[in-house]
Amino acid sequence: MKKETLRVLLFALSALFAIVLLDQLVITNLKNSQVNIINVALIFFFCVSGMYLLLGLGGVLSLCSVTMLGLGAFVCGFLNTKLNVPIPAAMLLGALASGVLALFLGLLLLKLEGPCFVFGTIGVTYIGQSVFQNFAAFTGGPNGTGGIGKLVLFGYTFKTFKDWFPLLAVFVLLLILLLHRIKQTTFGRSLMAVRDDATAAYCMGVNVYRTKVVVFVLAGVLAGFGGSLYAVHNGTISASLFTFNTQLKFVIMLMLGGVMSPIGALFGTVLVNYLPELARFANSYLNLLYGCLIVLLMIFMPMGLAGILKEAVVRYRVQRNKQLPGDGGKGGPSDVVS
Amino acid sequence: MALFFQQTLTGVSVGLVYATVAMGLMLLLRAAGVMNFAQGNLLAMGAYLSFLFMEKLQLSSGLLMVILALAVFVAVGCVFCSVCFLPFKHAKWPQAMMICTIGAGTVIQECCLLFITAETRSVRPILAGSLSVGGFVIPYQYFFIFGAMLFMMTGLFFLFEKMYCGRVMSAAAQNKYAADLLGIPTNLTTMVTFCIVVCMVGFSGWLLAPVYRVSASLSNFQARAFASVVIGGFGSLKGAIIGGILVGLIEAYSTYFTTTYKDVVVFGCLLLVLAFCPQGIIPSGTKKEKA
Amino acid sequence: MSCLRVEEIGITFGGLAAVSDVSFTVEPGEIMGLIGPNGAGKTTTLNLISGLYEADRGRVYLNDQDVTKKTAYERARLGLGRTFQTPHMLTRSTVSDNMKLGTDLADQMGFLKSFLGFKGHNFLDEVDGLMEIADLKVDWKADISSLAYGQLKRLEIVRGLLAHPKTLLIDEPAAGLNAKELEKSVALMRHAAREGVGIVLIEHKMDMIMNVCDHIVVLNFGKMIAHGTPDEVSADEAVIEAYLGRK
Repeated sequence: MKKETLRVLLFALSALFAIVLLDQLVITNLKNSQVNIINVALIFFFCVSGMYLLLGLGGVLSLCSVTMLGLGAFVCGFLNTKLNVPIPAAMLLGALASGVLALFLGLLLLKLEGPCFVFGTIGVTYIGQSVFQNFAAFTGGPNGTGGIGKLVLFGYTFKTFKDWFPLLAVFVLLLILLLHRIKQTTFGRSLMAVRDDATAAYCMGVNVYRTKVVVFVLAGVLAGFGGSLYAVHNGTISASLFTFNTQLKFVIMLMLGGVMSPIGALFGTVLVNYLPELARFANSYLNLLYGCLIVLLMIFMPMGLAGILKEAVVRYRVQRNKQLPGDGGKGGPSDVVS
Repeated sequence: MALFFQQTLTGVSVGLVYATVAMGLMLLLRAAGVMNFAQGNLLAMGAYLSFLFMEKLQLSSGLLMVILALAVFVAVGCVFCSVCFLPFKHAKWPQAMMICTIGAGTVIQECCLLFITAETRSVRPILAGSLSVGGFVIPYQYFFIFGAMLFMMTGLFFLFEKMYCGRVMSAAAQNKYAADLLGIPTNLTTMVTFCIVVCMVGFSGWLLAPVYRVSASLSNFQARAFASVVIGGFGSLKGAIIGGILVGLIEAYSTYFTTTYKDVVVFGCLLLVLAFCPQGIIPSGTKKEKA
Repeated sequence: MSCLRVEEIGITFGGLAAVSDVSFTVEPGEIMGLIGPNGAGKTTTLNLISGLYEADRGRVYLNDQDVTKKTAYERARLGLGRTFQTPHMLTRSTVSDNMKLGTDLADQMGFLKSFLGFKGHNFLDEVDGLMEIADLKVDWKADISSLAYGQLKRLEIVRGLLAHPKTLLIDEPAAGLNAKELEKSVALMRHAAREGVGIVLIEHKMDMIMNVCDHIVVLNFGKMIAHGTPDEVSADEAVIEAYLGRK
């Protein structure tokens, strides 16, 4: 699979180049608030990518990622402000805390199937929402947590939002490569088996319950790390972010970009976050517009933006195969970075 | 003691609302396989309509209002069905349908806010005055709510569990393919189910408007309805009703020891039920194949 | 050493004994036919063997190891393959992901090893050979749902074989296939048997069963009414009465 490795490397290099270009040409010219929106979108992508693993690969619809995000953020904030734990350690501990919670919840809830599991995760989100808003000793209650320290990496302090952008972009690139790799591993295929046909999964030696728990924990850790990043990036955390409505927004981000594609999900995330900025002219009609847009998108492209693109590629390939008969089987079983 | 009665009364009346929303949720889940996240918005829409008819347009005739409301609800039901269900009949991802209901819910809510009123309004009760017994007061509106909800629930229960056309609808819900082969118009039955659900939830919203005032936050009832569905026993209408009332009571009694963590108590109960008896309080009776 | 031994296995569904007291042994390289009228409990027997149903009575041994208490995926990892009457493929995945699932089972590699790119069985080499026997030509990147039913049926057997099973349970491979496709399925089974895989085959096409199988077990109403070589079975009075009937 040399060709595959080369292709991934090429993708990574061009993405890095794109990040540098974006940083130098676009980000420097944007207002601070706009950069903030983009950065937050990149941070949310950690949460959304966890949901991609869960839903897109594993077919498990979990509606409590926002709680993992919140827990990561508040643990990181609490450790740093109250216990003076250095920032990098606090961030890792935040991710760990979310992972532990996810392990516990996963073991408890993943035995259930279908709507029951979804309802369980909705319950978790509401509990999280209430705890974050009221448990003042830990989260600062309605005031939130403030005064979280700055991140210092190799002697460089990340002060402004513009400092943060390249770091977050590189993180997101690494994350996309990770997701792409996971899809090609045995674990990724086990997940797909669980998603599409549990009976087939059992008969192909996949421990369905364990696979689901592992991916749930993985998604939890990703969301928790995203939460820690959010805490350090913004310096303050307010409990009003981690509500069920935000969770629904995450689902929309994922479905909008394309549930089967990490890059699509990234676009969806940035788009949903940036939409209020783009559609300022509509201000009071913004939500109405947003609702209509979601309905139309789901009806006409249920696989999201990436789905449309993929369909076009497939159509092109079918046409090409028609022109070159007998070329059908020579593709080789490797996947495009999709 | 008076406090206890007051709590029970509030619990049951709120519980009945949860129960109607939960029943609607359950019916849609069975009929269309869609988890409807617009349920709360539909409830709020009912309340907004009552404000529109009673305060803004100052309609005097009760019958006229009911007929108008019914027309609106049926229209919304049909549109809702053709937007959120029909395009997704052959979709590979059922989640797309769910997202669509979120979008539709947003549209409904925004329409109410933009075209009816953007502020929190109060509506005069259908039955004014109150009954005072011993140390506590019961507004007549509560009795009205009790009566109307019980009427709706029994009606629905009989329709779906006892009557032929209800059973046809349940059959269509359980196995679309077989129902198609038997000549049951599944699209039509699903649409009728949508209309019934919208009417039921809408009228519950209407009844609630005087008690809870008219605002978009009425949609928060939806979360409790999710909990009711599970606590009562997933899959049955009886379970949804009992679950709704139970959730209402749990919430009301929880004020004895906490006011801030009501959500934690209610949804903690949900998790406990899921962990220890996932069949719910009223198991639906169908046994699952071992796999 | 037998690769599959079933001892007096049985299951009851709500008072109805779907399968009772079925026992047989499959040796490596042997093709065993499991026949019987509709509703005789053939697929239920396969489900009991592969662990999708929990047996009420009896024991199942894979390579002389008692697996009665083991779950379906544990049995699969011990070398028990399975295909279905209607193919169970991953409907939202590509063909290559579907087929690699078989190699994954053969490798049984942990996540980390797989993540770091350790090599197991060479998927391409093996699959090409099998695909040639099955006479299948598919676009690896195509969606599995774009394939025809006959192709899926054969692909499922190929996937089962990619896992290097010691025993393979095949449920009605001929259903919905035309004569040419069926021939290729049989070729796949013969190839597997030559490699030492024990095969249990459910089929309704009598000529195929008589042609392919080394020995046959006949079920009726969940009970074993006969077993032996094809010639013995087709001469058996009980079988003729219960199954072939119209002598």
